[in-house]
Amino acid sequence: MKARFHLPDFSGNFKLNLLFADMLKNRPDFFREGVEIASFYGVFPPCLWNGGRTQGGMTDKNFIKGVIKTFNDRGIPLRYTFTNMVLEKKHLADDRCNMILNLSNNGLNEAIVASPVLEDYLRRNYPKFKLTSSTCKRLNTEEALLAELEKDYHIVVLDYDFNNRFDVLEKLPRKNDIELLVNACCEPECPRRIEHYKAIGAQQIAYCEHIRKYPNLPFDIEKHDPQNFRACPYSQRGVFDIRKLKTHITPDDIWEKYIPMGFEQFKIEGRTASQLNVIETYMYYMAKPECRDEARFFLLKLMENTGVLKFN
Amino acid sequence: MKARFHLPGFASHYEFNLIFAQMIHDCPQYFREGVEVASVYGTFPPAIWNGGRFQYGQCNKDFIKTVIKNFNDRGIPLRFTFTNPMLEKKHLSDKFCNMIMHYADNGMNEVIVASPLLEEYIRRNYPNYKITSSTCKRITEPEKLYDELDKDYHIVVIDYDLNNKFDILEKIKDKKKCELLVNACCNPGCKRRSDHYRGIGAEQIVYAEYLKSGAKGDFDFSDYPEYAQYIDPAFTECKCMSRTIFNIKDLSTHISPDDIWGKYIPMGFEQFKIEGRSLELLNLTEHYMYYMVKPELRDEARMLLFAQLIRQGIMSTKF
Repeated sequence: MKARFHLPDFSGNFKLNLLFADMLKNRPDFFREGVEIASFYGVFPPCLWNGGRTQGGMTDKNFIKGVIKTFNDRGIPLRYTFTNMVLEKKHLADDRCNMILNLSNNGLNEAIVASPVLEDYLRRNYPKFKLTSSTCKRLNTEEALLAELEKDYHIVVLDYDFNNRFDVLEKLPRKNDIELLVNACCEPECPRRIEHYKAIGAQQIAYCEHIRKYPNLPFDIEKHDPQNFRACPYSQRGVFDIRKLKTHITPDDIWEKYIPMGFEQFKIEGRTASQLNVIETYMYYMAKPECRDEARFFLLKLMENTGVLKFN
Repeated sequence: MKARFHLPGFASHYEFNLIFAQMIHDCPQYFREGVEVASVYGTFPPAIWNGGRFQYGQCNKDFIKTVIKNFNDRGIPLRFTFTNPMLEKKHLSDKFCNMIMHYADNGMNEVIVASPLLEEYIRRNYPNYKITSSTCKRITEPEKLYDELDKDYHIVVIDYDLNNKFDILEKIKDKKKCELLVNACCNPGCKRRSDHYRGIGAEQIVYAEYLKSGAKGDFDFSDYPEYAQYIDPAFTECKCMSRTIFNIKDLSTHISPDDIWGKYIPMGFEQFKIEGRSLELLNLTEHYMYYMVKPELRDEARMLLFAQLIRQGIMSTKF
């Protein structure tokens, strides 16, 4: 039995994820049956091709190399969220994104894609990267999903409006290549979701251009959010708030329903969540319920002992 | 139904306890039935009268006044752990300890005592203080415990080797006057416990005198060969105090929260002491969550507390 988890943010949550990966290795007794880290996903900001969540920040080449090596040495792939929906041909030659791909072009690492333009570019220029089809595509009809599963993707992340719709899920082929986003914070069936992903993509491009031109000036997000998506309250939902959503997949359902059906890939979102939320979400999904308090304490102590967490 | 908890470290865990007390006040829905803060106990270092746990550090007058005011304004007494069993007459006039007693002498605050000498001094000079008899006295014989309960104490903290000995506990007449230390980290029945308390008392005295002398450099108790008997590896290398909440649950002296609500409160007990003056905050958080929060809301309550600690700048993460 495998429960392969894709975890958020190899860059922003670098230290937390590293400690967590080592904890999973050293204390398997804390965890539910079959838990593995399938990948850490995210980007090294600033990253033009990034999608799904706008990501600010700056990372340098040494950090990028360090992160790739640290996780790859542990056998864990990085998976780039290159899911910007509004990329154009002119963006494909971006120095920084290409540099990142070159630095990690070792056959272990992966990319998630939503834009056909970028997907085609990656397939031609970086054939070693395994490709995941993104949930950002909003393939929310059965026909579109079945057609996607016939394509040459390593993994297809399901539109999470299909979560818990067992009538549809039961009929799907390639269940072990399907990834389920288990802890979505978005409103189920939100009619604006694809517009939101597009707006995030445009915002990401604007951010990268801003950083290039004015590296020392703050980015005015207001100017680059004409539809006022930042007022959407759902992105602020925490680990306890999302449990009532019909798209929510509980850990008990993972082990009692999804894994017995043949699914084995699960994505935990959280690239822009608070660190506390991420820790709590990891504990909720992956630790045995009876060990959750001790496992959380163990992780927090590791963080404290390594200076990641401090009491002032 | 009352579950009155005495919490550790009004100075060492000042902000933490203040935030936690506020959380009980603002979010009672997270807590088990009847949970109240009966007191926050501890000392202002370097108080020479302190016992039970050696406490480093120095507090100034402003801090002392602020701590007293902030807890007392919320209706929470401070309770001084003046349980040093090694005190002599000459220590009674200690200026720092008497200053603390003066500042907090408003009828609300309390003192725990173990030394008859200090107890008598406090009763004479500070009659406003409610007095608690300390577990440091090591009263393990049932008859002696029943005698202690007949004395004029506000509370008697039971020797925790009697925890869960329901045949003895049942016979206590005034159960509301008893306080049970629920999360002891020490080995049950430890034969050296009294000696350990004496060693801690001696170290506290030497430390206070060391500071008073204006000496420079780090204080090291092992520089005082006259106390060699207390610098024994049995004490200095005792690992019991580094036990976490997860390591103490199997000790025979451990009182679980389910037993508090399922056995002790129905018997008539209502005062419970959580030790932890020298614990680090992650461990202490887990003790508080374990004992006082409803089990089904523990994860959410912990998250709320941590979020508040981050907001107040007490905790920070650097990923």
